[in-house]
Amino acid sequence: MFTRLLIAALVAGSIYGLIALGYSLIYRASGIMNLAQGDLMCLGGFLGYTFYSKLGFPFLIALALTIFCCFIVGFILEKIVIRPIFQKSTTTSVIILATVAVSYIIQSLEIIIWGAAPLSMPSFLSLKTVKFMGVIYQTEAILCIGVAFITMLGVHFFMKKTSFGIAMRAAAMDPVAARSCGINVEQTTRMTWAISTAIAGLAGIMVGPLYGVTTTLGTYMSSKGFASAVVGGYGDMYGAILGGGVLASLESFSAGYISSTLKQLIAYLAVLFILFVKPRGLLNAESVKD
Amino acid sequence: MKIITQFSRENKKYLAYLPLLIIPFFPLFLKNYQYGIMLLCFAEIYIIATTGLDVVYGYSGQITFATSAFFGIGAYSSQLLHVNFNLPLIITIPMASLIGCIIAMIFAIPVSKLRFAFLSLSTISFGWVVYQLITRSPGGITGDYNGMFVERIVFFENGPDRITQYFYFGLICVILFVGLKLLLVRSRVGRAFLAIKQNVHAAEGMGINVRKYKVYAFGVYGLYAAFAGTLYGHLVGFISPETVAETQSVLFLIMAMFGGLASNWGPLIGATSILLLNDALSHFEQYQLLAYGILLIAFIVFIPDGVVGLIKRTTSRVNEKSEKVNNAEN
Amino acid sequence: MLKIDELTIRFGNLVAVNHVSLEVPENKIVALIGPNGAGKTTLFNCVSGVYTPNHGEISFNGESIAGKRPYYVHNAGISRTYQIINLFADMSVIDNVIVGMHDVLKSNFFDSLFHTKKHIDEERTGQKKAMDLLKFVNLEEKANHTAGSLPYGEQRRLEIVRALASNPKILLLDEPAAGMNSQEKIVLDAILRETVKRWGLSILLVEHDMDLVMSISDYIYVLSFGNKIAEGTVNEIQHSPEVIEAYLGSD
Repeated sequence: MFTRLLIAALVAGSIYGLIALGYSLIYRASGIMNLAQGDLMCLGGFLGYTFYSKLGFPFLIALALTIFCCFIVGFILEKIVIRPIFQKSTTTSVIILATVAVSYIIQSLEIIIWGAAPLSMPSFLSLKTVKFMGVIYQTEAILCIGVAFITMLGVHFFMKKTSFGIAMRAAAMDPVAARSCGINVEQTTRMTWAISTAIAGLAGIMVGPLYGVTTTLGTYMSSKGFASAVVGGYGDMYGAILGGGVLASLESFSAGYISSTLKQLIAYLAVLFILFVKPRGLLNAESVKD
Repeated sequence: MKIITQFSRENKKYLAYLPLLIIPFFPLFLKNYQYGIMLLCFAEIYIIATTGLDVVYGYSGQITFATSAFFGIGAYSSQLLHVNFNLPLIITIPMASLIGCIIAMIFAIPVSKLRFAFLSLSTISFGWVVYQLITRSPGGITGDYNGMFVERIVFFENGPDRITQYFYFGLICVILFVGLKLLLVRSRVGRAFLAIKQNVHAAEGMGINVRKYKVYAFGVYGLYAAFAGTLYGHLVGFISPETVAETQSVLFLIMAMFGGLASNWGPLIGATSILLLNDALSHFEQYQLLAYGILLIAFIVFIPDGVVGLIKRTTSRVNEKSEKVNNAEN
Repeated sequence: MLKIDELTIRFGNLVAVNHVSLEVPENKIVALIGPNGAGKTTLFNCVSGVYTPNHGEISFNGESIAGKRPYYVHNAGISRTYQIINLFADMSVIDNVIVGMHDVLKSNFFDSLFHTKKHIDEERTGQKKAMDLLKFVNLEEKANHTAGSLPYGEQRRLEIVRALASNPKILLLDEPAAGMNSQEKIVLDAILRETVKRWGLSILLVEHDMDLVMSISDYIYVLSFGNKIAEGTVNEIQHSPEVIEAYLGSD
């Protein structure tokens, strides 16, 4: 039972963590919460469905196309919506409201293009199930964990070891200083958004065979991702992943050992508890904005 | 000629309030349009909730996504007290409002340490917790996902219909609640709120017990939102978890921000406009959300400081121009 | 009146203030000087309640205030200004001053909510008192301007009267002359002297402008790298070899 719950926690945790990662990266770079993050995940699901199920591309091609599209969406989003509003020097809450507007637009476009009914995405692997420690799982679930892990390693490597990644981190920490070092802060911020949305899209297509593709998943995942990011320490990359794991574990284990109906309640009560006791999150993140 | 223009300039302020005298006559104009009067009642309810939100967010600067949660606490509490303890509505409505107020203040005690993203998350989580409690209530007393029927208020058996009666009751409530808010924000407490919002360190340094005032702000907010919730429940006759959903809280924020934060008329303008907008857009079905999103972006780009902010900006520009003309004439 | 004993503040491994003792008697102007990074503002922050000291005592008129919250310290009669201007930028000039007297006004929440007679009377008195304070620094014409729209020197003066609004017994001024030109500094000199005379309070002053310091101080403490290296009257400090070395470095 424990292993089953643990695997469930890891699967959900990897998805939450990926979304949370996007939240934290954007928060670090732009100082705002992108409340459309969950909807961007769904967009990935829808795009994946189109490329794989409808157009029949081989899965890896569909995956690459989806990630690429979501990347572009993030790029355009920052350039056309976020930055112009930023430059009007409005308060941060107003910019966050803009991300809410974006979320509405994405959701409505999804309904218009793909219809309101939930879509199902067939498994893309020939091996439908896999047996691990005596329990049978959908292969996609295990794959989720793997993909998330690889993505996090990739982001870590990119941020810490590549010059562009370091430039991104510098620009996020101190735009003025970064600019004086010759870093193009506008470009790095845009890239941060693009990477965050691409990761969200990746999560969406991975989750497609598991949870289906539907617009309502968006708001749900937005909340979960946001909660994970803050719990782990908002703005901290590793905090996002840790937070995802913690939140998913809380849900999974309380569903298993206490009650399945109360699992959300317990998870959110735990989030409140963590916020009250350790307001900077488990990894003690600095607040970018007051 | 000059005397007339000078007179009207001095008394312009009071002329602006003249149109308000028409409001009590609205039901007469809308006699055959029940739905219209119902919308007015909803406007009254949302005005009260948004006014409370303006106190905690517009004045003391604490963003909150929990408005619909308190709205629901008010609505559900009043009905549950009425049904389970046989208390008349005239008792349960104030009680439910007070419950909202107290819960808000207790919640605010640890939350007052939090800012921005962390504050947002705590209010979102609070909203989720309330949603969970309502949909999984012990013994199903709230009707869980199915919702609950609520006693409808009838004031007088004879006379105009229930909705019209409700309109006048609501009008009195709006005048009372908004009036008190206007008094509060123009006082020592209101100044403390604004100081906290603008510069929390300086506020504390100037002797303001920031925590205490943040809790006060939340208390007012909880009271107003819960009261609005009770009005809603007893008007419509039915409440469900949808009223408590997070998306509704965002709507309240939009109402407050669209009207204009930290202003007298902001909540009134915002609540009424968004309500009417909502109603107008509901005919678009699937395009409703799209229209919403686009209008929201337009609002942010063109009038980020709300309708009241826009009016202030235009009038100051007009005043500048007329001053220049005056100076040129002299 | 204000007595600081062996005050020590550490940030991790860095000792910002190291066992510093100083005293501010009644009705006197005491200056705290020293090269940048000496720990002067940190010490101020400790007194005003922003930081809690790791060690040592701060007592004000016999009461221990170390570790108390800033609003409590303000309540006790200690007001301060800040190194970087810390006004309520979007509020009017006069409202800034009235906020300064917040904890002197005694109306409670319900008085405010219902605008009781007590509240109305208090507000009226407060308005008048704020106006008088603005007149004191020649800002009464700009009473209804937004604080953020004032030129720098006037903002500094506003900060001072905001701090005076609560009838403090001691005023902590953190680099009040920073960014001022010589004309403004002469005005500041006069304001500070008149303040002590008119209200009978004390001033603890952190300042880099030596002319100002030497002109108005009754007593001077010198900090360097968190340590007190000298104390004395203006004359004593001017001739102290330790002070000269601290500022100029040894050759």
